[in-house]
Amino acid sequence: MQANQKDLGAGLLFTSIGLFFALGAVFGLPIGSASSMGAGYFPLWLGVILTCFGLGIFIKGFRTAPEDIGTVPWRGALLLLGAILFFALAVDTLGALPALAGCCFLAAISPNDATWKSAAAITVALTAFCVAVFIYALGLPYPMIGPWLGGR
Amino acid sequence: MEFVDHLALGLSTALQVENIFYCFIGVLLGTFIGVLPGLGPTATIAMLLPITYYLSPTASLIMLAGIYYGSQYGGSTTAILMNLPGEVSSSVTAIDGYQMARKGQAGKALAIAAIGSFVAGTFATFVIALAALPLSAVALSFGSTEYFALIVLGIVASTALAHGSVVRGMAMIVTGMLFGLVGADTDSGTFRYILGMIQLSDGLDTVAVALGIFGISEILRNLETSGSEGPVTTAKITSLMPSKEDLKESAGPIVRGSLLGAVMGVLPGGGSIISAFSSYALEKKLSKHPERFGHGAIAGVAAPESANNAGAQTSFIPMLTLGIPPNALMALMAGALMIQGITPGPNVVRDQPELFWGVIASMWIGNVMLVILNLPLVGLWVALLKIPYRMLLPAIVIFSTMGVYTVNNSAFDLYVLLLFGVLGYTFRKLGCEVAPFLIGFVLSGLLETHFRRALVFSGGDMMTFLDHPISAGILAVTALIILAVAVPAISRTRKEAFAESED
Repeated sequence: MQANQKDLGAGLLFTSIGLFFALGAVFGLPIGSASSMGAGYFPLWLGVILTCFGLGIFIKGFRTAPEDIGTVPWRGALLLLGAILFFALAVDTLGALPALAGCCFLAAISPNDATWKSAAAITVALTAFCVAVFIYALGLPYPMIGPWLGGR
Repeated sequence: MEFVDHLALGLSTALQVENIFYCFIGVLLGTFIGVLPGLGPTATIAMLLPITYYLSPTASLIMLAGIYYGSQYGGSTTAILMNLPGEVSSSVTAIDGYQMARKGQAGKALAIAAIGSFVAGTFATFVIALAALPLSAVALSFGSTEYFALIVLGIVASTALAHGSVVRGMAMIVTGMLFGLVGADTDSGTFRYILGMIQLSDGLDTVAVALGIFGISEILRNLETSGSEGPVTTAKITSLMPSKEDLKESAGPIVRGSLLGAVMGVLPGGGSIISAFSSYALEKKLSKHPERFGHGAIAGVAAPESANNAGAQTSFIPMLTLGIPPNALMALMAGALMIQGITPGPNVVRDQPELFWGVIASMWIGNVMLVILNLPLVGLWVALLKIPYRMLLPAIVIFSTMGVYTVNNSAFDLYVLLLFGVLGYTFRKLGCEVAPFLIGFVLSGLLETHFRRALVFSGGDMMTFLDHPISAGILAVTALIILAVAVPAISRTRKEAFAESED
């Protein structure tokens, strides 16, 4: 398509966020009036302003030089976000130790130039460091081994 | 003299063992991340926000401030030695600094950069000390109408003067504001946009949002280029001492750079980056040998280095005295204060004098530490560049994750971190700077409160903002700025000024 993808994307994103907040205010919050504003007054108008900005940027996208978004490092990004997600899911169930180790490992293999060997080494070192700092030095009250693995 | 009393109080606070320790940690960390290209001060400060829960408000602000101006020092070291500006603001230094290094004058360039930064830092400390009281007195006399106008001015100016498209910047600020409104409405207690999630009733966690939108999105961005080797051409460092002529030649640029930097730093959106660019341009114009610039002119190192350091420090003024952060970094500092239950603004000087003057005095002490840390140990910092990013990345990820989790011991905040990480990366991919988002996020509550209050007093009449002379004046300035940006001639020169920084 002969259009500026960056403008179109940004325009769409701003418009949808603006509409979400504006419509959320109209349908779910008391608006009130300027002299006694309800909870929805301020977000409604900010939402309207943002929608206008979004539409403006979107339209501009058809009139400016074509430009694409560029590549997204899908493999690395998924591994990296997966690392944080794994920690969030594991810390209360599997325990702090598996959560830390899993998070470190997933993060360590996310760069393109990472190898299994170096990732494993980083995982061991970093997990040990985190356990020493957070659990022993700062004394944070997280069980090392969680209920799913027979801990408390 | 009142002024001397204040500085004495500040020095005695800053010289407490705890505060000296955290000041040292701050400048050390700042130098470290300043040297490393893939990690900026904003992301680092976002990463360290959770740790500040365990510190006193004074110590945490001292440490965070240290990271900020420390990173300016570190950034210039690599800019001079290997043409690799660790921070955007040092990219100006790289122009002439690297040329000096190639001529075998690396030591001289480093020394001038350090001396310039130190002089500028000292000067900026005094400027803050002098400007703080009058400014906060003015701010305290402001009503909601004036405050609303002032915040609008701050917001508009911060996008107009900052990097990137103005329209996108404004849209990002509004987006940040909207997300800042999530949670209970302070006035009526009504829950807004919590989508049935009770964890959101106190609003989105500042640490998780800031770290996601800055830290995680920056890591994702760095993953795009991971695997490619950076250029490493280390110049030999010979004699550190500049000659008498060098000092004489740099004296003027250092003084002018400090002055210009101190003024530019106060402006919203400014801070160290614009200061560095404009002082370089000024020196080139004033110089008797403008042709030397770009080929190793010592003034081309002295001026921007002084300016960016002065600007870094004076950008604290609007945040500490008015409660309006002029850039994303200061928005994070404001966040750090709010975490501690302190609302940044004119009340800080009045109610927490030790905090206020302590932080200011610590900047001067921090500058002394930086000279000691940077000049003799420069070889060590350069060696740091050999650490590949793939080893740093897991450490950054795990510290961010643990940091966010430990704030409330809640896995929910990690989902917020993920969401805003993805959102931040998407925005960056679409050509939107994420810095204005954070300014909006931090300011929206304050803006809504003052907007509401002003209109309650006026009975809903919007003209109240124009009827009050002070707010009308402030809004007129705001309109002028919008006009100036909209006029093509000015926006063209603005583009040119920033085009240099894109290299």
